[in-house]
Amino acid sequence: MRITEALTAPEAIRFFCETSNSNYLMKTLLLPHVFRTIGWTILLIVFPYFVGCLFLDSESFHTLFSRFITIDGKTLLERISNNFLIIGWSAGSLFVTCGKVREEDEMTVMIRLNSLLISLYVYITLIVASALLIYNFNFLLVMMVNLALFPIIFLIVFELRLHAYRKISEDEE
Amino acid sequence: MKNRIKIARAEAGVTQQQLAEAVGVSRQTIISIERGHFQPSTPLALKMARFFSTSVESLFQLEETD
Repeated sequence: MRITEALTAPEAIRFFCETSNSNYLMKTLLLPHVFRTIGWTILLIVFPYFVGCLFLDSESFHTLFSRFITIDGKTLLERISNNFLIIGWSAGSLFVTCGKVREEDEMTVMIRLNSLLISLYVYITLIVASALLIYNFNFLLVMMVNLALFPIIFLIVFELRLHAYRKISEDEE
Repeated sequence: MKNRIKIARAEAGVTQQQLAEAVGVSRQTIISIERGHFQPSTPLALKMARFFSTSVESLFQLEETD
């Protein structure tokens, strides 16, 4: 039997449809619950640094951090500053949003999916708006913020919807 | 889709928490199902029917708008 005939044979089609591929498609890809704790810990460390980058002038901010950690005469800030912020923020938000909640069931899966869609709509809207309203070098700042914007939006939307979901239990029984 | 989960619970003397633990979901999910805010999946509906020793059709009914 030639290869093309083998691939189109009913037996081959049935094999590909009925093997563990279907289990693979149905398998959840969420991280264990402990990752949410790890993620929040990372975000609580990274967030003050992010605020410092935004609102403090560079010299006072460098002085503040250089008091704590120095490596080979150079401050930590000079060595891994951007990577610390970007990777920390991305990893933290990923762990929080993709970690299972304590009571993970099909309703939380639906909440997560809807939150993801809402976040995507908001994210695309912000990109389009920034493309229309922001030009020149300022757009570089927009691009830098966009590196970690989608997980942040998803995190906010998902946590708000989870909070509303948990308040449902104040019902009768 | 309307359901009579609340009635079935009352007849069986079961709380929302007990039903939730029996079928493997959270109490909030049971509340949402009873209020019609959330439609359970087929396995969950079957688990509920089995818990109440009844059929799925007796617990859930399609409405005209479905």
